[in-house]
Amino acid sequence: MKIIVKDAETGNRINMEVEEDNTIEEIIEEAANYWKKNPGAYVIRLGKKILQAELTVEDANLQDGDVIELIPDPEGG
Amino acid sequence: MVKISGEEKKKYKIQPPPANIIFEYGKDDIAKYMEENGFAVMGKRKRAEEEKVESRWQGELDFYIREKACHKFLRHCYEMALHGKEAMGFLIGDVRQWNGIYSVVHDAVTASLDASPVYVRFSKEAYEEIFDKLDEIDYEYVIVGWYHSHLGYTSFMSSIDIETQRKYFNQPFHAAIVVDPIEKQMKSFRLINNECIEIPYAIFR
Repeated sequence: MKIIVKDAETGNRINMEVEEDNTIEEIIEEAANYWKKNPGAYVIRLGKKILQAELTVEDANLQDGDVIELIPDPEGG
Repeated sequence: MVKISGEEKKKYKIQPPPANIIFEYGKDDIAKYMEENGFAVMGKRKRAEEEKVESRWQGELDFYIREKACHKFLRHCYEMALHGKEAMGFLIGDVRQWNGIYSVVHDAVTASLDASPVYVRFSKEAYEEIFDKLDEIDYEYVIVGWYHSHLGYTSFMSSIDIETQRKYFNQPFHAAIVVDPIEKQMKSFRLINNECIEIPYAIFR
């Protein structure tokens, strides 16, 4: 199936082909590598849900055309 | 197998910068602005625990903040300062093009925080609250930066702030705002060639 990954920091999107047994972690790693980001540094959302890295596409109930979004997790001091 | 089949880059709208400027940093007095709008907190000046690195100044104006958004985060910083804690949130807006790229902040979004007088981050529960707020936005938003506060040790980018900037907000249009409601300071910064540079900002209505 095809999904879209959105980078909330730039508004850019990538189209991605995934299979049901792929994990969210694999998706994020691929997107993060593409955008040269640290994959572990983001919160991933599908609508109002946070997607846990260990979930598979099937477990996360991702559907064709869904948009998942990378949200930063900043720290200030 | 996970396979990327293409990228759709955000297109920057070609539009002149906001015209109705009511405050311009570098020309107007931010301490007076914060006092007049009720965002200054009585408190003691403190000494920063870490060595303060002065940021170079870059004078070209390419960062615009809607007054409503500015008051929202200044109020948040003020209220958290009354509780002796730092505040933090996202700057939501858009990137535009007109004689170069500039960014506009339309809104500020925050949620519950793990905060102390010297540290702040979103709590684990914060994100669903943030998602709700992001879903209310009716345009293709960009998180154009972040704001946070310091409590009496002035507005500057600490090493942890710079790390956040490098990790997440490293594009030419990204900004960080640091507010000190006690020292009545509000400064903005960008990463330029990986160096943290202080930049001017304008508040518009």
